[in-house]
Amino acid sequence: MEPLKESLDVLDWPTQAVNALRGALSNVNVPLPAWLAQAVVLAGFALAAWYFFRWARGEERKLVRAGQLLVGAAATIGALAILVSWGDGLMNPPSRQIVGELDGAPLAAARIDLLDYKGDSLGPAIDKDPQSRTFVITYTPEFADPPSAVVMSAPNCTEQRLKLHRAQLRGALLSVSLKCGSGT
Amino acid sequence: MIRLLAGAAFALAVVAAGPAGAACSVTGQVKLGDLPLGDADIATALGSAAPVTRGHSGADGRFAIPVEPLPANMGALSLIVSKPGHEPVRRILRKNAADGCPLSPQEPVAFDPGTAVATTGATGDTEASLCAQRSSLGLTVFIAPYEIYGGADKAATDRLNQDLPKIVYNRIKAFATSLSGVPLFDISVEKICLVLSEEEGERAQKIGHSLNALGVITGNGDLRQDQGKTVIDLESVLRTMPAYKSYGATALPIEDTIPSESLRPSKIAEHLRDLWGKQIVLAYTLQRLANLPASPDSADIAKLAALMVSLRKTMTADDPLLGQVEQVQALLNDLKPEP
Repeated sequence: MEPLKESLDVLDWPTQAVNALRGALSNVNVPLPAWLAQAVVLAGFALAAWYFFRWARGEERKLVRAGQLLVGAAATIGALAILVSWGDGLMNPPSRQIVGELDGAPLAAARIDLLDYKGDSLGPAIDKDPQSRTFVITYTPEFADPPSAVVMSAPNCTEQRLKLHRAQLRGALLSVSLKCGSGT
Repeated sequence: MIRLLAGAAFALAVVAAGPAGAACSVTGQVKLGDLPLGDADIATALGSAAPVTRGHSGADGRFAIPVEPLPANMGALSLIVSKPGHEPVRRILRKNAADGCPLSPQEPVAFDPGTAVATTGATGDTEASLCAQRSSLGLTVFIAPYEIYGGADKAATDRLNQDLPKIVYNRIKAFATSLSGVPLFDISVEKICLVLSEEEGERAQKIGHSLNALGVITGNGDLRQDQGKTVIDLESVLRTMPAYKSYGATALPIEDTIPSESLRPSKIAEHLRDLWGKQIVLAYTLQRLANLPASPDSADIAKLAALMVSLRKTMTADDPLLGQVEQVQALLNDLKPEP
């Protein structure tokens, strides 16, 4: 079951594209909630799929028809990906905590942050257990808008930015190893 | 058919009840160094919720506390073990995926003997040997004597060490006064008589805890000539003690250059960097946060939040303390009541 759950990461590309669009709009002071931006793009995909499939029906040139069907299929996949990610978020909501382990640096001195889709801090609560090198990031998940990455740094260590996968947002352990030394 | 439906409903109810109905038990042992420690408070906290006391350790240091299974959307439970006179120890208990219960700690929960707060600290430094008294409010910054290299005579070194508390106090006060719209808070700066070298950071930290200090300053200086005048390059480390949740207790290196001639401390203070004031404002905020009651007054949180906003306004993007201010602001945001 786990490989299947992991494979759902493949369907992240439409939401990532939507987030790129949200980022651009946010930069010009038009912030959009993730679900609304995704709904608009979903409608766009659905409209494109309907239009191209309908157009292909009356097209007699084989090559053009194949192209129209291809575009229609891509739009359908995009729309389905958004619907699947919504369904997944509703049926299998993300955890409010990301649990991880740190290697390579003392946890007490490490700085940990959780970033949103734009790379801004979500201001999470961080709990550390230096004895077991375990840390917990507690945050409030938003529908269709998961955090994108965890950033970790420590004195004399190279900062690490780890992209968060679906499994880690649902309880799998996040393993972090910092590279430290005088040259870093 | 009705029987079949009733059976299915019962099966569903059993599945739905699942681990939520089962009570969990967390067991472990509390130690101070190698010895078991009895009567320690055992509390748990879920996420950013306030800790709930669950029990105490027995004479052999062992404890067993009942806890509820973790909700589906939580992955760990915090275990907080505290005993008056010691820094609380925090452990994270991960969730057992099978039953939703938090896993008991495999190793004993160990207090660091070095953080014991007593008249005689684990460092062996007594109040008498430090020439200082434990701070009752936790708002005192202690300064260890500076060594001055580069040909300074003893009288000049003594004079500087005599004036340093006033110099640092003036710098901190001037910075705090410059923060707009924030009521002033009162701190004091006092000397200790024990010389601490740069390598003794851990010892300085322990002394700070044993004196209930807001901070401990160690450092040294070098005399040098600058455009015909003699100046002192000071290399200081300001260690702050207060901690809230897992955040706090930092060491900040600060470099200053001050004139060597005898001037009023308030005059010399103008040569010190703003970092002194910024770090102390941060430490003060953490100290207040750590002393908030379980259900804090929103007005108190608002005051601390306003203090952090004012502090942040004094910072540029490359300020070494900007990240810390942001973390403290995040901690304060967590405390704000839900609208």
